[in-house]
Amino acid sequence: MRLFQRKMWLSIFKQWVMYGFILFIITVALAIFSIITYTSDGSKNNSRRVFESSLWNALQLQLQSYRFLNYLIELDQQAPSLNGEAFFRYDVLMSRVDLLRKGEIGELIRNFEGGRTTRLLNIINGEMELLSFQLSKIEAGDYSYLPALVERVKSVDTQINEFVTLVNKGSNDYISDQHKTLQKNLDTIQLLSIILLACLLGLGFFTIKGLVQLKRVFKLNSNLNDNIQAVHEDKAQMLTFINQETRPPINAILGIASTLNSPETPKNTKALAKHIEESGNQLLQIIEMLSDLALIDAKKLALTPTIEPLKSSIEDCLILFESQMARKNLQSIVYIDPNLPAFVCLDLIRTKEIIVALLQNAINHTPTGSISLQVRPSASGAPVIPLPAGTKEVSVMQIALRDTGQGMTDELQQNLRINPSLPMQQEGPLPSKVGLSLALCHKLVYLMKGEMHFSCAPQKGCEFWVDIPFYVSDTGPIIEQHKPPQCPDNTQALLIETDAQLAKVISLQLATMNISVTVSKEGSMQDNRHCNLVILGNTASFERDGHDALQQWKNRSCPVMSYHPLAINYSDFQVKPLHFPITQSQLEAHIITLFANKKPLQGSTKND
Amino acid sequence: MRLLSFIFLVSGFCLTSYALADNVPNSPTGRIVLTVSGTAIDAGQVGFDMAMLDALPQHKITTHTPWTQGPHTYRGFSAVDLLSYLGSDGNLLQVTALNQYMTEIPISDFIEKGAIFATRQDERLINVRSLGPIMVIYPFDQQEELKSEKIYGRSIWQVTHIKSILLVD
Repeated sequence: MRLFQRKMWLSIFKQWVMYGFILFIITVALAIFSIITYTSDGSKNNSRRVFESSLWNALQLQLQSYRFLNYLIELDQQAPSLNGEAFFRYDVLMSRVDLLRKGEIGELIRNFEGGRTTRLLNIINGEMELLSFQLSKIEAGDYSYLPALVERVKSVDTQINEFVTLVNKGSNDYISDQHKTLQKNLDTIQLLSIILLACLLGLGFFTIKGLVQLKRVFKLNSNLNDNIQAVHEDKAQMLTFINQETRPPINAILGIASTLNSPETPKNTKALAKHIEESGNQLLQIIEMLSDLALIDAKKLALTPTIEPLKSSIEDCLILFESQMARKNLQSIVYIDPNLPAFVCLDLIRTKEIIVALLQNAINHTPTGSISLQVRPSASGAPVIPLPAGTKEVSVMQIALRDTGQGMTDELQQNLRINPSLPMQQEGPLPSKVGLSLALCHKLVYLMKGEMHFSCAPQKGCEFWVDIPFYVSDTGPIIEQHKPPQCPDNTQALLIETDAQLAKVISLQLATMNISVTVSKEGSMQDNRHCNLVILGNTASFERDGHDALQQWKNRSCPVMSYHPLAINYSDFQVKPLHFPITQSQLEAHIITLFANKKPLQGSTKND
Repeated sequence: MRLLSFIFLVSGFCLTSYALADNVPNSPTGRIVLTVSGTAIDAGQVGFDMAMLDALPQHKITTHTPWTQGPHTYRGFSAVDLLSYLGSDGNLLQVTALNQYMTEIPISDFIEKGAIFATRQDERLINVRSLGPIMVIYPFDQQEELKSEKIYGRSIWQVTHIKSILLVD
């Protein structure tokens, strides 16, 4: 939804950018059009030299009037006829008058000095036109009209002089106006040029930005294509991987089905049926894991915290693998710290998946030996996550799983060290690299805001520590801690166990029931110290010393519990058998039976 | 380019001068409207009346001018023919008007730009008051580049005298 809102915002922004761009183009077009117009007007104004011609012709009129007057004064009065020369001179003069009255020059002069120049020119023209009668007489040889003609031409001189002055003044004013207009146009052109330049700079900027964006988009597109290709490759790899993962249980089912269908009915049908059930469950588990992985990758997997009993849920996980571990002779044990609440609020189904994945990995890498599972409070701080209703705080439990196997390969360890909270490792480990169960486990841990760490040594085994946050319920009875039965003080137990891992966890289990444990790490059965309980575990000296030791404990009335196969089947002395996985519930049940008549023995959980 | 024009002009003179000599009257009979002087003119100055000018090959231009209203058809002679008739080898004309205004026109203007000395406006003689009797007219409407101050300055009216000058590069 937020992404959608962001796209909406982006869309509106892009729309405004588009409007801005259109406005920008219109501004550029207007600026260019205006510059062209003003430049054209300026060019037109600049090319008009009419004002120069008006002044030139006015001066020419004055010059020609003087020349005409001079011609008249110097006229040879003895000549019988002038052969049209006087009229010719007169026409030259009058052509200047005509030029000043007609065309663009005439139009311009009309506007000078409020029409005074036109009035003066009309007077001059009228005076000049009147000369033609006297000229015709002179042309005919009657020179008596000459003085009057000269006087008349002289009398016009004042008007011509004033006319030239007015034209000069008018021309100057006109030039001044033209200069102002041109300057104004020039200023406007400069302003428009600045706007245009700014627009072009803006356009250049946006073009560069656009090109950069385009380049980025091309790169993104290329990356997306690569990603699509990678997705296809991943899909193919995933299908190959699914094929690999599902083939063993399917083959097992098909093999057993083939055996059962054979003409001779096999004797161990029950075991075969159990095997089919296990393979079927394994297949279902694989399918569920694949489904969960797909949901996590699609960010669709929602955690659903529920309030569940911790102890039984964890022990159930180990019991699931009982047969599988029994086939490999693997010994297993589970310890749940009594400091943890009996009931926790978390997505226990996902937590179980994590434990199952770790157990499966441990079984795979452990040909012989033991696997121990401990669940205890974690020392690391709780993450900041929102609290669901009915819970008061967040706490962290640590699930520690240790095996005595061969250890994992370096490549597997390398792939498991990926931390999805880092930006470059968000994808997490690939199932094809670490296996389906570990990949899902890894992704689930980080999805639950937890952390996963491990240490591994070749031929010595691995230990995984997984921190999982959980909510502490704020309702009364549920938050009560698990209370194991308590033996009387100074209750002593002798533990004969060469497997240090098993010895350590059994010690922890017994300690919760107020039993002090002495461990015989070498497996020696010659310990004569006083003890209230003997736990006979793995020891190489049973065949040699077992009989004597058991007789001795029988004489002392010291109860013996054992998971040693020979000790369990010992006929002379009833040894309480322990079976794997050794759970606290199993031990507690035996302890209650053994110490029932000895006070104090109370405990067990309110909810057990 | 100018050298090529000059060679073309001289060649033209040689080819047409004999033909022109037969058509143009030897001396003016009417009022002399134009005098020509300059290089290779033995008589020093030659006077032309309108009949002599009309006898030269005639050319027509219909155009607007800055000094008249509306388009007019002008007819007259080319300086090339005039100089050819006189046997002059000048390549620059110094033209003087009745008001003593004087301007210089390269002979190439009459070859390349098609200028003429007009003696008729709309088939009528041009009187002095109408800026006649001879005007230099360029085909302004046909060649936009002629509408410049330089060419307007060469478009002289009331032509009364032409002096042929030979400029050597």
